[in-house]
Amino acid sequence: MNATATTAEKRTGTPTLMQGNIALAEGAVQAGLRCYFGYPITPQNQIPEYLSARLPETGGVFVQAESELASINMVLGAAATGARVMTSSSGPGISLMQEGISFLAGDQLPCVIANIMRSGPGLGGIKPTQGDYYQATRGGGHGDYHTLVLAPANAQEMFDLTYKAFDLADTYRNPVLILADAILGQMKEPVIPEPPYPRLELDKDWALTGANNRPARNIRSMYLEGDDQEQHNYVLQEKYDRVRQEVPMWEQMDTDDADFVVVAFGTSARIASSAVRLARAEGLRVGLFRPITLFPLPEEALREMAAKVNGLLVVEMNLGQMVHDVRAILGPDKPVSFHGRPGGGVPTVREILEKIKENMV
Amino acid sequence: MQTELLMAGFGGQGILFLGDLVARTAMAQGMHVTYMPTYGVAMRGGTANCVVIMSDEPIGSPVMNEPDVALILNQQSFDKFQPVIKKGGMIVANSAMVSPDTFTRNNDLKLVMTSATDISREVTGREQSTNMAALGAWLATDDTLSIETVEETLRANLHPSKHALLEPNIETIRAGMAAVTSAATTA
Amino acid sequence: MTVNKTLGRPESLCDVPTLYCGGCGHGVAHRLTAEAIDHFGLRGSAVGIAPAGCSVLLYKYFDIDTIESAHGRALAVGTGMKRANPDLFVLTYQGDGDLASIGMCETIHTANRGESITAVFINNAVYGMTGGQMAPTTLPGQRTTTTPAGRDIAREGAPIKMAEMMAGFDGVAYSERVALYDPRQIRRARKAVFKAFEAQITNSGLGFVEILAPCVTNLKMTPDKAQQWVIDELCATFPLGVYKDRLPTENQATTPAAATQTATAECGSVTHAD
Repeated sequence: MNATATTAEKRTGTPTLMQGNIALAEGAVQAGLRCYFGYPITPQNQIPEYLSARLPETGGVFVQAESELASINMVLGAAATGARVMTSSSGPGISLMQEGISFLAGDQLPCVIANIMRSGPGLGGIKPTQGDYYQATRGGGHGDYHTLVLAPANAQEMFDLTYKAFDLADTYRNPVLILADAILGQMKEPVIPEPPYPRLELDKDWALTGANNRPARNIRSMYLEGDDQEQHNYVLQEKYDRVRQEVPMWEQMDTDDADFVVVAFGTSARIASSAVRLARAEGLRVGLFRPITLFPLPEEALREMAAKVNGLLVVEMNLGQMVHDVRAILGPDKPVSFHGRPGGGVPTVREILEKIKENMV
Repeated sequence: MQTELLMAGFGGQGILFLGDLVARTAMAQGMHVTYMPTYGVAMRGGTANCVVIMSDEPIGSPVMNEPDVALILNQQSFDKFQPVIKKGGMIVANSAMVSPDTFTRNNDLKLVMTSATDISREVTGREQSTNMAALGAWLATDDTLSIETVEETLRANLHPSKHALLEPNIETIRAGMAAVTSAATTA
Repeated sequence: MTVNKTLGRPESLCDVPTLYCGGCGHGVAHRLTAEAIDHFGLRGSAVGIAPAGCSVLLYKYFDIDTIESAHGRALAVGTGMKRANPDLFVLTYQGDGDLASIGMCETIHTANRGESITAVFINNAVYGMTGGQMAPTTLPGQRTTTTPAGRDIAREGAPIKMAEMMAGFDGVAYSERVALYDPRQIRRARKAVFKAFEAQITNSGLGFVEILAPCVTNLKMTPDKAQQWVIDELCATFPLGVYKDRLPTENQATTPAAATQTATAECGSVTHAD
């Protein structure tokens, strides 16, 4: 296991059986969530339902918005005041939010957005998927921007990574996406729902708090004069470069002596880890590399690990999205094969084991 | 050692409550555990099912793979899940709703028929504790979970509004256990 | 040296020339809004929200905290701000395309929730910044760059009457439609803006003021002709007047005298004005 992983086993405290969606919501509360704005959509409804009762207990604000379009813009308004704020949604709802997410990125406003992915395209269904990898890691809306993307793989990480997401959002003044799926959202696991470390308290000297005894502040993403808009993009780019250096998180399992490694995130990684264990039981030297941050992908760690193996298999619950990033990172000389199931299909442990054997030779 | 337990029945038979209780009990026994329910539209009709995986090691896939054991409360679920149970595994079936004639895996599965609905009715006067009677049948045939921890967990987690049901439920679990044990002795 | 208040520049208005077209209503509407900010002592707690459109440059003109919003989303942004920090005075300044077309959903629901926000709505019956396309408030028969033969009600629907519509929501505390075509109307508009501020200050609900103003450039008229068009055409379709006033009465003494005309009476007075 790699030191950057935040698994439940590493935490001390009393565990309680928690649903992933609830763990995510409580992680946000523990991080000092002040406002939640959202609109119902399956399979993430436990998040707003839980927060509608929980936030009033902490003096926080819960608003059921008229649409995801409104939710994300309420998030933007609240974020501009310096409050810790989040929304959550799925599929079509996240698509509707993209305009607002682009604004949040352009405005450099911190917030957390949870996407409990449902299968698509279109209305699709409520089954688990990882079909939104591209949307999440490419920005998703218009313009040259990124959101940070965290991919939990267990209920404890639903809590821990959401907690951490607020610190990352404040540190980089950027939206942070939690990318999970219906399995992670709906399943229950033991969770220690306590802050893993004290939360970051930053002076938000950009927040709109009223220009009392100070010059007025303005938050915007439009720069009309000269090459200001170009310069603004360079400012953002410089930030993404820092994020690429400072934020990557991943987990490695059985990679030290591995000849072959499976690369997968979230639920796919959980299923793949069972396949890796079966392969090991059969004497095959197989490991697992699990990116925890999808933007930024842990490029250096991936390269370093891959240098020692003969080949890799990327497993995703889509028809091939992260695999293209992995191939781009590792170059054409490293054999990278792919196994994926789209539209709510979930790869089985056996399927993955077979693919490992097929591609190991 | 890892046990994958499938619980299935129709909506209203308390399948998800049963899974939650099993998961909490396993956790109280210090095991790693994942609980995966059916969700969304599946809740509103037809069968309800959930899977609890209990292990002394961190659990990989939380998704149903090949259940070692299945507690099945109705025929529809029996027909659906009989083929996916792991070879050498076991099905505990509710005899009030499942016909043993439909059991086709005599060669590689153990079938325990329990009159769970009848036991529930006898002990509590209602059918709502069928799930608890079935749990008892499993506890009697397998030592993964202890009846004592099940009781403690039930006491600690049953919603206060349902505390009147606490003792009857515990009694039903024990009756479910006793029925299997006596059947085994008389066999 | 003393400053003559009536000729002075409101403190919350920056000392810069506006980039608005000569004869456009934004300059006067800005000033009235700034006067209200000063009057109620809100410079230190106000946040202005400027959605896409001509008024997106609000931050250049107002010496208060400001934020840009996406087209149509100002009231959602305002909701987020006000809920996160109820001590802020939240002001949106929106055009007709913004508030009544792309942002209609946000407008209606913010009104329905009765958010304590003040919305200043500029109705000039056309899309200004994008080049004179049809607005939801474009008049029947009015030629725009997307209704070259004039707006046909059978095809494009009728102009949307926001002040009337907003008045229908329980969450709206104040709704009035005003114009800026002469000093008397400007004084009325000032009172209306003050009332819309008061709705928020007294936490009574949404304060809404619709200001009829000409977009001289897209009307392709001289400023004086454009003003006449407001009087003859715009006011005929959009009757001036107070459509909703449920402000607490004890507060009325702190503001300029309330407009007392009914919508009908006001409408009648318009055609005979001056």
